[in-house]
Amino acid sequence: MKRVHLGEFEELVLLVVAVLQGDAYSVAIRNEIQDNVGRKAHISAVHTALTRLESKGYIDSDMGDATATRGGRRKRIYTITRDGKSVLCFSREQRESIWNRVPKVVWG
Amino acid sequence: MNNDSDERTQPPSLPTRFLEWYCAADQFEHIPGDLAELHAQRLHKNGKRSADLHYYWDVIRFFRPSAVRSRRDQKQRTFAGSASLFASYAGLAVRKFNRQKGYVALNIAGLAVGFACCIVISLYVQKEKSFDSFHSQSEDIVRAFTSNPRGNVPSYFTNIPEAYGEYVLESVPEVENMTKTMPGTEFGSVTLVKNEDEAFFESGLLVVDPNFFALFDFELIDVNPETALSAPYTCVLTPALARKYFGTEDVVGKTLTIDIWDEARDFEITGLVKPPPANSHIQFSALLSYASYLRAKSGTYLTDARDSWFRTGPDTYLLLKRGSNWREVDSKISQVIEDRFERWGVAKVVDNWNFHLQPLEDIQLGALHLGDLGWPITSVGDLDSLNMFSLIALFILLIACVNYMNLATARGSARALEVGVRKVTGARRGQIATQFLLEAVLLAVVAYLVSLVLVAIALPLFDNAAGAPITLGAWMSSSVTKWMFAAALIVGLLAGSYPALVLSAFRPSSVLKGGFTGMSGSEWLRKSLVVGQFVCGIVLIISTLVISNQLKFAQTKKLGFDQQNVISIQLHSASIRQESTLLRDEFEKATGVDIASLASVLPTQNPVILWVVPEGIEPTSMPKTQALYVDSQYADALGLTIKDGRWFDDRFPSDVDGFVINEAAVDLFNLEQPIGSVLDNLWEKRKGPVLGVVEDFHSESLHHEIKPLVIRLHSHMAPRYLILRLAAGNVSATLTGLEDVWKRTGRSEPFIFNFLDENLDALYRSERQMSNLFGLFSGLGIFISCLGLFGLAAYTAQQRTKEIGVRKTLGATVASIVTLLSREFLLLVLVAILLAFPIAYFGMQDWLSEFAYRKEIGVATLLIPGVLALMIAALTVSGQAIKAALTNPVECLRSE
Repeated sequence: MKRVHLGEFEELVLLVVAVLQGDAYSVAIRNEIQDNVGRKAHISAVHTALTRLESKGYIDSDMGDATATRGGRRKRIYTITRDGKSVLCFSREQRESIWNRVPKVVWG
Repeated sequence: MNNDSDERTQPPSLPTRFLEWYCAADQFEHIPGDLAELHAQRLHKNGKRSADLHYYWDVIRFFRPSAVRSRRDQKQRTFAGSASLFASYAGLAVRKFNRQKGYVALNIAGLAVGFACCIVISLYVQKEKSFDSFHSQSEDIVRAFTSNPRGNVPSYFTNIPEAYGEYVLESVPEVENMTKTMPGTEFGSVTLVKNEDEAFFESGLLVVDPNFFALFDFELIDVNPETALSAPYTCVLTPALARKYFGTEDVVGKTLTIDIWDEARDFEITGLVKPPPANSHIQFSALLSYASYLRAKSGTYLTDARDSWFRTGPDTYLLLKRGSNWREVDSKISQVIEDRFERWGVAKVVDNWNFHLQPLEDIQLGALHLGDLGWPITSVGDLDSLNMFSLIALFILLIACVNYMNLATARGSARALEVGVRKVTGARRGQIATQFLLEAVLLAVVAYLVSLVLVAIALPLFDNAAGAPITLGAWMSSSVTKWMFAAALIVGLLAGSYPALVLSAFRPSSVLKGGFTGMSGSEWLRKSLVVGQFVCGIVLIISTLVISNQLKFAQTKKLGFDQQNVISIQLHSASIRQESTLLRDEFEKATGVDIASLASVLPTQNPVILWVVPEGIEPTSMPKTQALYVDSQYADALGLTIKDGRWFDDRFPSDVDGFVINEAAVDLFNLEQPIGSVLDNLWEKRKGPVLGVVEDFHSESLHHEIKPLVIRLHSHMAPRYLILRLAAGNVSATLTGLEDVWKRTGRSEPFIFNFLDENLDALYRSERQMSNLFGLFSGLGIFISCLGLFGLAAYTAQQRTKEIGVRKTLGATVASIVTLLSREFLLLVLVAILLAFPIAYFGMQDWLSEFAYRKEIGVATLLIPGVLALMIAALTVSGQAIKAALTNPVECLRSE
């Protein structure tokens, strides 16, 4: 496994891409983050994160279809890759193992 | 709710344009799309104002590295970046050239002729402008001259008093050195030079002092310049002259007999000198020592400190201290000379006799036309005509450029389809513009190469026309060719830029839909370009005609004497001059000779100057006059008309002191009763009566007004010319007879004679050259314009093929179709003619004003070139029109 380097926001975006599964394009991702995660995200920030993820090989993109509201321009649909999935799992396992080692007293 | 209007639902256009400008190519689709979608959402939720504001913010926020196109990306979009694309364009261009050979040939021919003209003219101009700048001290050298502001035209003399040089060197500290030179011939003619067996006439002798080499960079070969010309009766020769006399360059120590200053003397050759470069105003084939001149004239006025100030002498050049201002030195010199004269108590003389300086580099093209009345040193170039030539070069280049643009834009609509298809398949505007520019530059470079070939062919012809030899080697190495290459590239870019900008802007949808009829705006431009071309061409033709008319006028104008059948023989040596009367009588007896006469100068030459005033008049109030020394036969030999009194008569010995004057002199002296008035000859210190008045006759070219002239008998000055009036009839037999007489009288020199009318012709040499060149260039200008017109006509005819077919099927005659096609172009030429008339008229009026006697510009002079241009244009256009009109309508119409 390559050196994993996933920013906090990147991880969130990557997760949302996995959630939306086949319908993940930047506006949908932004809406998801804003509405369901309850966090403000600017479209350009989402875009930058997507570009970085793609260059790291965690997501793939393809041109989707166009709609009238988009001024006849096509969407770029992102899908999670195998690497993307494993990096999500890795990060989750990492956290989990650390979680498990937190003494119960802390939660007291 | 948001579909009420497109306008309302669309995001604002300004930020969109900004976004589209900066957005990277690979994100060009989805980013604008995303933003548009967000805008639509917000529009729905929050209304237009909020959505628009957010949209602005979004676009600004997106201006970040991940979305902005990289530099490499940018290059590809606006400029056809990679080498392979360029190669592909070049390939395309070559293929296109191949397909449209006729059109390309027209273009290249026009441009090449234009370039060639430009190169030739620039070479000529460069040569003229580089005159005398090759001396290392050229910027510090000045030539002295005197001016005499009295009379109608101020006259200039470069031959200034003998004592001037030494006096100025001594009394003005800024003057570091000086040298004196003097033509080794008197009155601008030839000198007899002999070796042991043979005699030749030489015109290139120059008398110089040893300082000559200290000021100028002329080089002696293997001799010490300080001693080579220090002794009397020594000389150095150019290698060519040495070979001419001795067949070898090993001539040091040998002697030549040179007949100069009224005696034949042996000159010892002390060395060789390299020939002067062509762009030097000082030209020589041999240099004689100045000491010889001083020796020959010893005991005369030359040695008198005061007298020598009042006589003309050598050309004097001064070397000024580096950095001194020649204008300041000029006024200083005037001051010290005034002091000099004041000490003698003759200050008044100086008032009307000014000493001035002229920088060396200004001599050839300076504003002062020297040598006007003094001894002509060399033909002085003419800045005006040089500027005129530069202008013509520019004109012709302009015509050629315009041609290119015209043809290219005219074909624009034919290429519109190509542009449309290229755009649809993804070409960007920048790429198409680059392609057009590349094509234009490629054409220009090819035209440049062709023009070099043309120049190589044309240079010898041009030399004949301009009388200015430019060697092939000189122009190949000259910077002109390099500059012209740069110019060719610029012309290519300029000429290509209009089609590139206009054609690349076509909207593919409108072009491909069809019904695209070309550019109405560019049609207007094209028309004005054609008009401009023809204005240039017609102005040039009119100028040519005016110049040649003036020349014809000069040749046929009644000059006041009869120049036909008159020959002149120069009496070039002192020994012949002593026997001149005898010789004259011998020649008069020869068959075929009507009258023989003697004279100091020919009517074509600059007469000497004499200071003559009516008795009792304050001398300084009178300008000097021209003087002619002749014998009693002169008036008959030249057919002068006596207005009053009589001519000299051998039967009256007292006529020696008498004068015959011309009408201009009568006016100048303000004589009411000329015959018998006494004139005071101030230089010769003798008085004499006026014997007669002759009608004014031209003793100079028609540039000059007839000046006051006094005529005296030749006993005051040895005659230098024998003038023979031959009987009409068998002139060649007469001439053979004359040569026999020449030999019989014991002359060993070659028998050389000139016809007077040929001498007169030579006065208009520079005008004839100009007329030749104008003829040549106006022809070329019109030729290039017609090439353009031809192309345009061919193109129009081709475009309107279908229209013509329809018209013909509906019964139009060939004539009506030809008229239809030609009319438009001929109208343009007509407009050009109307514009050209005033330009040419006023321009040439200006040129003519240089002549004191001129042929005014007539209506015919203006109309003929106009009609000519119209006819040439009509021929060019109608050829195409007739071709189009004669095609079978079936062929035009079935093409769809």
